[in-house]
Amino acid sequence: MSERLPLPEEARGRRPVFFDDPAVDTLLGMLLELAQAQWVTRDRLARLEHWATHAVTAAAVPFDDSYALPAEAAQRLAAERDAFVARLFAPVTKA
Amino acid sequence: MTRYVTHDLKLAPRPDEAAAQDFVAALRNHVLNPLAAALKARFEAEVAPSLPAGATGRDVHAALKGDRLFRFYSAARVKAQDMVWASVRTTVARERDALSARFRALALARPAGGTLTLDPALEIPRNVAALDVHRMPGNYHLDGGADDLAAGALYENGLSVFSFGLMGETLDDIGQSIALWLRHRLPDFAPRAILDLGCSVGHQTLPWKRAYRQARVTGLDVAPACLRYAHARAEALGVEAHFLQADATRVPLPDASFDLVFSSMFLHELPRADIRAVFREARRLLRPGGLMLHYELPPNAALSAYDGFYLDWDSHYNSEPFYQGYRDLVPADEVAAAGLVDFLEASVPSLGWYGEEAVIAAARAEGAEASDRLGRLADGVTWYCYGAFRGPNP
Repeated sequence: MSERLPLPEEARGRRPVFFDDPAVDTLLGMLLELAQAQWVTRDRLARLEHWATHAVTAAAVPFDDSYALPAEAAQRLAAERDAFVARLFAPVTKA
Repeated sequence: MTRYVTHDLKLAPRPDEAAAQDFVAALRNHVLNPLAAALKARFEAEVAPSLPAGATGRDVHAALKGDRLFRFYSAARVKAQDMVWASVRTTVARERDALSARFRALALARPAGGTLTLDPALEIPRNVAALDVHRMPGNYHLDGGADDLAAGALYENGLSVFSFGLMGETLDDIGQSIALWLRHRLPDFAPRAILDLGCSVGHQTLPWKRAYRQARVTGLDVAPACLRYAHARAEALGVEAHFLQADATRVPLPDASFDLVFSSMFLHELPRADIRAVFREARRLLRPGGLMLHYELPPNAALSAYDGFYLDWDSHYNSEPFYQGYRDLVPADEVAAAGLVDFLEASVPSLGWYGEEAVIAAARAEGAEASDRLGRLADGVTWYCYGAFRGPNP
């Protein structure tokens, strides 16, 4: 199926701008990309820490893409993620 | 967060991709819940007192445009929207050929007995072809040719991230909630044939088959890759449904052949002339006594000026050019003009959020309860629906 055109990356149409200086819109977008990348790293670190603490002694358990946090640890990490996003936006809601 | 796609077409995002999706879902949750609440509080405290009596949603928009919080809310929401599609695109692209193979296998085996009928000659309407709704790159009608499911996969997996759980465990809370509501609202209604207009990947089509087992259920859309995906999805879920590529303003099906003509989140994607054409088509397709029913955004008349403004945000900033014009219409007038009778409307509580008893209680209530939860994808959402019947006369 290599003859198929690749999936487009950008939506057609004008991208809305909200701030008087469009650089602020751009910077906010960059900040959120960076925050997402930071979260991806945090998630990987959490899995790695869990593996190192709980599974490293079992030689049969490698650290790979299939290694997932157990439900309780995943729930804690989800709460940490929500708190991280809330902290990012906290200054916005202050007067 | 593509965790809500659990059938045989589910993707296998790598851990980093899943974490990126989780971040976007959390971002959208924050923007649409606490940040939206802060924006409303700001409006009520600082903007509302200076607005004249009778101010409209458009007045609220004009008054808030320069507000710092509105600007952060809006810029973050647009960025989050783009990040939704970006967070699933890589996985869909990597698994595109595998999805095609799964489609071929399911379409061949047809374990549920459904069908797919495509019309390669169908012209994609301009309101679909000319824009990327919800800023989804390529839009619903994106098609890579035979066996391509990419647009359907992008849409369903994107919706899984976009809705952060509010569309239910299988992304069909609207269909499930409204089908349950209708069974209790009209307990003697026993449709033999049901048509879902603008069905995309068939999320809200299949609950009708589950609710009315005796009915033949048909889903109709213009987008071929979404329909392939819908067909494979239905077969994977073991629900018989029949998908047809056609334009809802010109349905190639006989007069008086359906008892229920339904749509969800469809009419607001259409220009007014097409909305009216769809209503006329629905009347033509219904048998006497049949019901036309739409899940939609609530009309302006049902909402406060602020809540009207809030819903129209998409029209201004999310590639939804017909959204506001649709919401300016008065549903009761439109269905009457199409020759349908006995208008009904309701606010149906989300089954996943409120539970079955709340939906059944709503079926016993009259009218649509106005609230800032109505039609808004946020905690505590209620679904607005309305419809009317075809009378006994030809």
